[in-house]
Amino acid sequence: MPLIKASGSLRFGNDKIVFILDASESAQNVKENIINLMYEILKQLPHSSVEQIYFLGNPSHYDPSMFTSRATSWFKQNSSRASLITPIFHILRNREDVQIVTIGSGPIFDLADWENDPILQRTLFVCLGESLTQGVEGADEIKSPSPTDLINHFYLLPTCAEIKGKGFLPLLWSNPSYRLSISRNGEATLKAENTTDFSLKLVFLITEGSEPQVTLTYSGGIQKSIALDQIELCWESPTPILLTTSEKEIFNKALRRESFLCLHCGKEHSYDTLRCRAKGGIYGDCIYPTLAKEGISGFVIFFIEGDKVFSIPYQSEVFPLGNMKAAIRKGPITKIYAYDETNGGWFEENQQLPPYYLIEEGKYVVVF
Amino acid sequence: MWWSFDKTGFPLFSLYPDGLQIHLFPVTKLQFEMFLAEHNKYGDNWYKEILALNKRVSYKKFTEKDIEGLFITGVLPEEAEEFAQWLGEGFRLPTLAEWRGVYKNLENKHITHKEILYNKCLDPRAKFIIERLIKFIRPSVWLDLSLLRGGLVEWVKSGPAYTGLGSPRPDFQPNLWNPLQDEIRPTNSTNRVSFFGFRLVREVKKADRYMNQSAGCWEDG
Repeated sequence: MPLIKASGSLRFGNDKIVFILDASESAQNVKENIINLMYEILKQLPHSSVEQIYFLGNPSHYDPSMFTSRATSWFKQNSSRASLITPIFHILRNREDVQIVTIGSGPIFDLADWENDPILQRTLFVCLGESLTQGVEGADEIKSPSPTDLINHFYLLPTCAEIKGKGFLPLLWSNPSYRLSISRNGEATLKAENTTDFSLKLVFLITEGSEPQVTLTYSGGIQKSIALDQIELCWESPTPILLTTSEKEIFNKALRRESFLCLHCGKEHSYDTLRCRAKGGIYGDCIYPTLAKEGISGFVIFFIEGDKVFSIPYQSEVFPLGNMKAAIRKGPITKIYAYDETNGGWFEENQQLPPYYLIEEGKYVVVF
Repeated sequence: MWWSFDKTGFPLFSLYPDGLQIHLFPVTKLQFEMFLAEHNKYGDNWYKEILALNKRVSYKKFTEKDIEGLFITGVLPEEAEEFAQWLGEGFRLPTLAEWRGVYKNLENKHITHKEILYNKCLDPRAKFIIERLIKFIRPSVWLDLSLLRGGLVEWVKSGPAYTGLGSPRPDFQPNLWNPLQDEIRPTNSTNRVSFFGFRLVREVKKADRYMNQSAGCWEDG
């Protein structure tokens, strides 16, 4: 099966949280418990994650940052409200980026109207007294949790996230916490561990008809598989850098495998020299002063347009070479990997990426 | 019949182009809850008392056996008037004569087409209810679909006082009432009665009718 290019994303902890609190008559005896629980939750959660607070029966929202100073008066204002959730669910219905936590006691009268509605999948009911849900199907309810348990229930972050799949090879990814590794059997895995941010956007290769598998591991060893969100990704390309006339001459000579005069030291270097060590340093200076000035390293694409030569840095460890091949950087070494359809994996060819590797007519890649 | 909608998206009809509009159904719990959410006066204890008289049934799950659970009952006439005020200008309880007039007119009015179901102003929940009622009741005349017959006893104004008209189905409230002759009154004016509900009327001036037409929520049918 051929390889195709696709894109996707993972979102974690970026969901906004909305709280719906029960200030009604049925919850009067647990009012202090609700307020204290909210104090503790708001202390532990990042401020930016709690978007709004609502009260049952009231479609108006309240600012969470004011909860500490205004809780008592808000509860008093809403104490005559009936325990109805529809006024708030109507507002949040299409907000798929929002998790809803409802805290209170006593039945919510109109909850049955939302039975098996998708909004219930992102709503957690926290009962501090009498059940809120009264057995409505699809309504997830927990009873009298501690603040930490409650936060873990709806805001649990994994300890590790791994992505792999048939023919999977990530090309570009947004989160540097993720690292690429390729096993001996050719399986490429993109993995992040022990970070607080597992969110990710990526462009990848995969066998046509396959989907990447995402495995999340939580503390205690619990694992969960999820799918990437399919998205159209438009990765912004940096502005091309025009080579100077002298640099263009070096480039053209390198293509012809001819030695050239270095612009740093004035001495002759062979065509495949990419860095000049005349001034010392571990790596030396990039032979193209324009790129050296920008501090560019890694993959750089050179392309010819008319009588001009441009360069564009390519910010990734992986460069697709076409023909089911890719160049993968591991520190100072860049090797070529080829996809083996029979074995369904990426295997190292016994060569490093040569300088000025031809991608297509007029386009070359170099790794600095 | 000429159709229009209240601000909750539930339908009203009139029998003449400039005639009195009347709710197609008794006021539902769904509509009343919208009033509760904006009003901030009737809380849990009040609503629990109401629901103890006539249990709430979700509009998604009602059957032919518990249709009445959809509608708000047990309310006092003053509470119905408060709801009418909230619903908007011109809304009120019908008079005894108005209610009986509509009843007589609908007795032989056959349901020939149901274009009301496709009006964009109709609340989707109201549409769901109408479709389901048609399926359960299988009405041939509007009198039955409107539940003026086989529904609740409904508050109407009789002079300065309030009285009840209706002939509920026997499984809900056994009775031999003829709404064109009998009036039903609770023994005590402050008693909540489980089978007493209400629907509202609205008088429409010609100018309002044209305004509704331009809003696209008026159909001549």
